[in-house]
Formats: sequence, C-alpha cells, structure tokens
Amino acid sequence: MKVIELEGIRKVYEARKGNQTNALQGVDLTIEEGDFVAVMGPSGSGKSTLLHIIGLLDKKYSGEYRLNDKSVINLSENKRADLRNEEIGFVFQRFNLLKRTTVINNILLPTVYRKTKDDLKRALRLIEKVGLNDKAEHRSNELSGGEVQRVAIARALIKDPTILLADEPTGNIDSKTACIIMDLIKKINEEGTTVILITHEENVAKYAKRIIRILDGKIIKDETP
Amino acid sequence: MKIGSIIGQSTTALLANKGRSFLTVLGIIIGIASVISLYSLGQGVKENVVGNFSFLGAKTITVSSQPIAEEEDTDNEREGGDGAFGIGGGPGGGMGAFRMRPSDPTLKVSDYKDIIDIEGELMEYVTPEVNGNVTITFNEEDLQFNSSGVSSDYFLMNDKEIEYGNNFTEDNIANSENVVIFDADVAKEFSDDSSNLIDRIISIGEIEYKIVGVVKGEEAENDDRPMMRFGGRNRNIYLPYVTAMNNFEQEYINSITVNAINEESVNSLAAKIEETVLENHEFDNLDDADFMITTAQDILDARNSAISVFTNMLTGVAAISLLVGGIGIMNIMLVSVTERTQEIGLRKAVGAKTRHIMIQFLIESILLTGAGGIMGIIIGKLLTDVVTNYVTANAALSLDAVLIAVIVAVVTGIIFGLYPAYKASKLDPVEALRYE
Repeated sequence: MKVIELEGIRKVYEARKGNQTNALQGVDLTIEEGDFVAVMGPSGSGKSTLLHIIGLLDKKYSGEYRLNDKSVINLSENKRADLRNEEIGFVFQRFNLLKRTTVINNILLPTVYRKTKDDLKRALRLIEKVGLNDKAEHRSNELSGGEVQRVAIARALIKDPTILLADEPTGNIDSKTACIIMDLIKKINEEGTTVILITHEENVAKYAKRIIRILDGKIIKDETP
Repeated sequence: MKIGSIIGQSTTALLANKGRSFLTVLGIIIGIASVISLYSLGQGVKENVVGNFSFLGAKTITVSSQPIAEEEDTDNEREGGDGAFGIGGGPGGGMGAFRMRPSDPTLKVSDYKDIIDIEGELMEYVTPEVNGNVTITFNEEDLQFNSSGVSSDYFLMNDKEIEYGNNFTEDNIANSENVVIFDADVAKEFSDDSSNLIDRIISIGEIEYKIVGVVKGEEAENDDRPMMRFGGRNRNIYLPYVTAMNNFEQEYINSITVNAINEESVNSLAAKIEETVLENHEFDNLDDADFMITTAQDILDARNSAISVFTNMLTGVAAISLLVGGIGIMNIMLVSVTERTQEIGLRKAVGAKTRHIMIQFLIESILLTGAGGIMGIIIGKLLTDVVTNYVTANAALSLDAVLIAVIVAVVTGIIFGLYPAYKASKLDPVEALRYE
C-alpha cells in the first residue's frame, strides 16, 4: 500500500529583493508502507524542504500530495495538526526536547494535544524500548546527545504513527552512539513503521532499504542497495 | 487537550526564570496591593461615615455661627474677664486662660427661644451650646477641660445617660444656678468612685459650683470616631447654658442643635429654622447670613464626596500601575515567544493547533499576573493593617476585595497576554523550527 505519493512537487522560496530560490523542482516520489527510505544530498539540495512537506509542516508548495491515499493539499491547518499528531512522528537533528522537562513528559508531549487511552503505560513501554528506564524522571538537560535522540524517538512513537520522519538524527552525535540510534530506527522499521530519514552520511544511509539522492531540488537517483 | 499538563509546563517555563518573572510581575503586585488596600480602606472609611451618620443622628440639624469677613468686632468689652477661666471667643470673653476661637459666635438666646417656639411639633429636642475651656484647681493642680453650656435636652439627644445624680432641672436653667455635670473621664480625675462626687463643690475661677451629675462613660471603641472633637468627647464639663453665659460673660451661643421628631421632618424643620433665624438676624438668604444650618445629610454628603475624590485618586494610581505592569507582562511574554520559537515549532510538529499554542501562552501570562495578584493581596493586606494603625478606619480585607483583585489580575493577564499569545500561535512551524 502506498503511504506517500508526491507528484510534481515544486517549492519556491521568495527571498528579499524579489530573488527566488527553487528548492524543489518537480519531485515525484512514492513510498510504500513499511519502507525505509534515506534521502541524501548536499546542503541546500532541498532534502529538508521535502521532509517538511511530507511531514505536513509546510503547505506553501505546488503539486499533488496524497498521504494514505488521501490528498492533503487543501487541508485546514487544524486537520494538518491532527495528522501530524496521529500519523507522523518527528525526530529532528537539534532542539528535539523541551528544556527542563522530564524525559517522561517529553515523551508524552504529543498526548497533551490529543490524549488517548493508556498514554502513560505506552510511554513507559517506549522508555524501556529505547533503553532509558532509569532516566524517566531526569530532565532533558541532564541527558547526553544520544539519550536525547532516543527520547525523541520514543516521543515520535507515542501516538503509534504510520510514518517516522527523521531529519539527520545522528548529526550531532558520535559514530558509536549513531550506530545505537540507527539500530533502534531499523528495529522500529522492522516492526512496521515506515521510516524516511534525511542524512548526508553514507554509513547511516546504508541502514535504509532505499536511497534517494537529491540535487538542486530534483531526484537524481533512486536506488535499492 | 490536557490543560493540567499545559499549566504544569507553563509553570516550569516561568520558574526557569524566577528573577525575571518576579520583576515582571512587580507592577502587577503594586497595582493589586493598591487595589486591595484602597478598597479595604474605602470600605472602612465608608462604614465609619455610616457609623457617624447614625451617631449624629439622621434627624439632627445644627445651626452654627458663621463669621462674616468684613464685620470687625468693634464694641469689644473684653476687659470684663476675671482671668481664672475662659470661654472661647465673643464679646465679653475672659482674659488669662482665654482663647480665641476661629469664628466669633453670632447666635443669641433669642434665636434658641424662637426655634423652640416654631410651631408644628416637628422638634424632639433642642439645645444651645456655649463652648469654652475651663481650669479647675484640684489638689493644688490646674486641670483643663472643655466646657459646654447646654440645656437638659443635650443629654437626651446625645444619648448621654446620667449615671449618678440628675440632669439639669428647669430651675437650674431658669435661675442660672451654679451647677455642673461631669463627663465620666472628668469625674475620674477627681475621684475613683464617681458617685462620691454628687453634691460636692468645685471652684472654677472664683465661683463655686455644685456637681449635680456624672455622665455614664462610653465604650472605648466609640472614641475612635473621626468626627470626635479634639479634646475628647468624654472630657467635657457641662453647665446650664444660662449659667455659662452669665458667669463667663458671653452674649452669644456657639451653636444650636435640634433633633427633628423623625427623618421626614428634617427638611421642613430646617426650612422653618432658617426662616426664623434669618428674620432675627435680618438677612435675606442663607448665603449672606452670619450663621449656617447643617443637617446630618449635608455632613454625610460632604464626607462622601471627599472620600470619592480620595478613592478616585487611588483608583487612578492603581490603574496606572496595572497598565504599566500589564505592559511589562506583554513585553516579557513577547521576549518569551521569541526565545521559545523553536519550542513552538516543535509543539506544532507534534500536533499542537493554533489555539493550543495560544492557550498555553495565555495561561503563562495569567499565571504571572495571578501570582502577582496573590502577592499583591498579601502586601495590600499588610499595607492596610499598617495604615489602619494611623487612621481610624476599621479597614478589613473582605472577600469582595480579594475577588476583585483576582479578577483584575486575571483580566490584566488576558489583555496583555493576548497579543504575544496570538503572535506565538501564528508562527509558521517550518520557520519556527529553523529559528536560530
């Protein structure tokens, strides 16, 4: 089943003085359920823009986008917020957690806006899954870089989303910790969650089942290693 | 949406910058403290005025002398005084202990008699008052007291119960007898047992007087009345007005106090008194006259308008400090929105809607002003207690005042938090996440 279908996605940034930057120039992309896609490309190639569009954070673009077979082009901001909450989990490179807030409350953040049954139980299971059982009550500023990313992953999974979007999740951590994070993400993908990962590191990309290379807003290569 | 979680997170955010949060709410603290203290004091003063109103009696009409600026006292006969005691002002006043009062009396016994003769049975009690100071030598010590020359009605209209002895009799007054009645506090200076004083003789100047009565002491709390005359309401000695006028060589009466039979009769009686005294004094209207007529309502009105001026001024101060405090809140909330742009981006990414962000920032500003409100209530209460020690107002922190303060604080939080909260809620999530 197709989870994401993008057709002719174009994104133009209007800079001051009337200059325009074409961040995406007609991207067509289909991602199947349970896929693990790594999006690679140099800085400014448009990979983060693509991730923001897929994650329903950006709505100023042209083209067609169907999420779980439904067009999301004309959705209201509130509907998009609902979908972000329920269907998509985000892991960012930096500023992933609320400062001075405990690990458990950071994981529960998405449930503040839409609570579901057994939120706390789920959060505790996820803490165990990411191996931070003993740090549930620690504040986010007491954690190491790797621990922060593991909390972010647990938070991304709290609403049991269809898609996990990770924007350079290993960007700020050492290679050994990066391996732990990638193993965790791989495990999550193996359990059925579709993963889309942005990276510019080949050894991170190799965890994916499919690698898409982007340059100047266009997909230049789509390969299965 | 879990409001509890939002409040928890907001509290964490505010406590992260304790010093800044405190300085931010300082304006609110000052504003609310003023609201609390002025409201409590205002209520206290109002109750006092109402208390005075009932003390004066809504039925009371006072005719008093009003000096006329141009009219100089030409036929001065002041050498007649004997020096041992004095009666305030007026031709014929004594020397030595004699003290000038700011206004010379103009009312005469004929005015008093004519007022008594007003027809229509509108009056309950009438008394003249001839005021002065006396020195009584007792045990080789000079004791100073206020003296009032009055009629027997004086004690009835002022609820002054004669505890020992009797009120003045008609003979006492008609024959200008040398008799006195003591206030309770005066009596205490002469004897621990006031009942011993009856029929005793005291000297005022060279004249001997017989003590015929002692007024029952009033409860201490009644002494707090701001309307009370300086010198103390309980430190008077009373003489028949005729005696006072004769012995102190005073031709004039300081004031005439009349009690109407009921409140409804006050205005018609006051009009009749005005007419009578105007005719006696040969004036056409009260504005030009050398006397004035005051009813309890006049005094109450004057006091209320004075209180209104005071309250309005303090309300203005409170409003200004709340405005300044509110602007401080708005300023710090705008700073907070900028500082936490990425947090707002993250919250939107995990599913926060526009209204969720708006509510969160509104809650923060309400928490700030609410905390300021609570501190303001405490400080206002302390302030009220301190001020109450200096002015005689029974100010107390009422539930009303607390409710008003809380509402004012919350409303200030909403008003001044609205714009920053709106700004936060409208942030673009992509821009917010990218914010450096």
